[in-house]
Amino acid sequence: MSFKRKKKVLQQSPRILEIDDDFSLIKRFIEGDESTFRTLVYRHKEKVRNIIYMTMNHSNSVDDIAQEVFITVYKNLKYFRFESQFTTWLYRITINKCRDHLRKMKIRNIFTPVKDNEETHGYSQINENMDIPGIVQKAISKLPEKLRVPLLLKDIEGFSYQEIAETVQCEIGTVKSRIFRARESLRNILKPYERDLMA
Amino acid sequence: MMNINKDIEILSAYIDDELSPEEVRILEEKISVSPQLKKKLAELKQLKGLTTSSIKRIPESPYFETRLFAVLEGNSFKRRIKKWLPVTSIVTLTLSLMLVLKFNPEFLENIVEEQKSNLAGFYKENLKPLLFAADLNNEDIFNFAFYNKLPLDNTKKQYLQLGSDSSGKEFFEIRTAGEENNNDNFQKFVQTLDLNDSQKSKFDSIMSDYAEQLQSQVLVNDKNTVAINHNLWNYRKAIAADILNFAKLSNVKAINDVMPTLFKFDTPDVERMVSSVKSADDNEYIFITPDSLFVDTFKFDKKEFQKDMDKFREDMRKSMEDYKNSQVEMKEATIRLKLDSTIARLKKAPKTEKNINVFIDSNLCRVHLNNIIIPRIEFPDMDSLEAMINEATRQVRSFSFTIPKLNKNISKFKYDVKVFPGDTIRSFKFYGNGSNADSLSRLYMQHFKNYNFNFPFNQDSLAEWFNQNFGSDSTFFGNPMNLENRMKEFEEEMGKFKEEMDKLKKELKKDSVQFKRKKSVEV
Repeated sequence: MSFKRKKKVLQQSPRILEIDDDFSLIKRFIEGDESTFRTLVYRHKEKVRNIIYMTMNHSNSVDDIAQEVFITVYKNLKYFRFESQFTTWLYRITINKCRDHLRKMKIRNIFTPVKDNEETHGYSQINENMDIPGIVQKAISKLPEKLRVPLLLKDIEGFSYQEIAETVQCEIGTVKSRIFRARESLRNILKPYERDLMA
Repeated sequence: MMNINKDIEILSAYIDDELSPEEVRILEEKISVSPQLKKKLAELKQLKGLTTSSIKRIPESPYFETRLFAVLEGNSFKRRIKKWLPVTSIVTLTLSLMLVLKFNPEFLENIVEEQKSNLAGFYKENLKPLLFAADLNNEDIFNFAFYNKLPLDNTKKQYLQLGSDSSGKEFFEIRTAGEENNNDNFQKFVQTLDLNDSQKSKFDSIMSDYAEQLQSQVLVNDKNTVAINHNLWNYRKAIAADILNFAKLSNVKAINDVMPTLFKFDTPDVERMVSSVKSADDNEYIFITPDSLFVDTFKFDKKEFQKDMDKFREDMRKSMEDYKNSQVEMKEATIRLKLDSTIARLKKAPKTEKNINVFIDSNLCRVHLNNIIIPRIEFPDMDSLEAMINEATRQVRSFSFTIPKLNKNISKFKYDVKVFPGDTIRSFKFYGNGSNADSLSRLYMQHFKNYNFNFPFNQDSLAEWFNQNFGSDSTFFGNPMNLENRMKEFEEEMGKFKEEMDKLKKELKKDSVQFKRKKSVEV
């Protein structure tokens, strides 16, 4: 076994244990021990909140959406079929909730008059005085949701292509293509700042 | 170029560690020989590094769980309420009912009483004397008095049986009639007494009086309710006693022979008993309904009933009179039936107002009704309508003309055509070579030009002229000299028209030339 493989196995082992642990907690919840839900929330809340933050592109309604996610999970946990990982189910609910909110915002924006000075949400201009992380962050925020979410789930949350595909409900090939296209778009957006970024 | 792009896409998956070992080996071989792929790989790695390092994670929310569980608690409280709501409502209802019953114990009784009175009211509706259900005769009254049986319907299938048990308690039953035959008890009794006519009529009046009295003792209605008065038992005894008393007074020997042991009471006692029974004003009835049995008071208005009965009798009398009258009329309106073997005889048969002649054959049955009054109905005037239709039909018939042979004596040529009203076919023949009316003027041009002879019409107006003159007797060709003049006028008019047309042509030509020129300039 090569060094790379060994490293991979070592990385995966605690994850498997964690999944099993999720399952046992869910089983206990179904059997009537509702206190286990608190453990599940404590364990996954930050990941859920970050996915919402990355998907929505702002921190305004992260907690509200996260709350909705966990309420949905609480109501439907007794129907969990143990066919996939709990996290896959949880993140899929999260992404769907985010999409619902984005849809509602779009509808709301139709009926809201656009102010001249106000930056359109998610399309803010890159300021030349910004630092490098700021420039990159703004550049990522300019990507469309269907490219941005797989890229961030990969680079920030470290999801595998398989996990991303299950979360955003599409094929692995699509995920692969979207991540590549996201990187190409990002490179084009950041082209004017190439020197600063290389430095 | 396409392969390079494909490899670059694979590079993206390569840096994400998402390629199989085989794919990694092939790609690494390609990278080792391609400076372009090497450069791209470096770029992608740098970009990934920038992305990973630049995105800040959202700071932790310390109150997230507290808020979430507060909401969940609220939700679970609601769910618990929903879960216990049916039980709680039943318990509350029970407790409130218990409280109501404690402080108002008559509550339920009142409801039951109200329901009872509603039910009693329902069954008491439309109660009528037994007369309406069973027409009681002397035999029935006699049987009631001595055999305790009172029929409840006209067919006498159901009857009320009065009785008493060994302890002397009286009871009644409603029974279905069996095979027993008690139809002639009254007659036998009357025969035994050997009554004279006045005694018979007195006895009849006693019985009919009781029959009337009994009507108010048993009431019935359309809901199968039978209401029986308490006094019915006393009536039975009173009737029996009265009959026996009458028998004793009429023919004591005969009745002593039949029933020697029964006469242990005195006439005044019987009369007293009968009058007390008749005067008793008992409003208590036993109600027997299809689903209940109860005792209740019911005021039967005898006076009102008597009024109704009088009215009813009057109506009956009138209808009987009408019936009798109609019977008389029917007797007068005798239908004489005569059998005749042939139609000839049938025709000869006298046709009076009341005779109905019937002819029956193997395949025919004809009934001749004389003097049937047929109602007057105003029909539209069909005769005038038919005449109009016929006239219209005649007008559309075709006509054929044949032009006569022409000879030199043509100046003497004259056509007289007569149309007779009512003709169905109107064909007019002119012996000659011409083919039809349209060619008349052409014939004139060819053959008549040397003769001083003119037709009074031109080709176009032929049909019009024809319609105007052809409907009545007339000379077909009158005033033939005007045709030549008219033709000349027409030729002149045509010449003028031709000139005008030529002018118009020239003007149009000019305009078209100008238009063409203009168009070319614009282009």
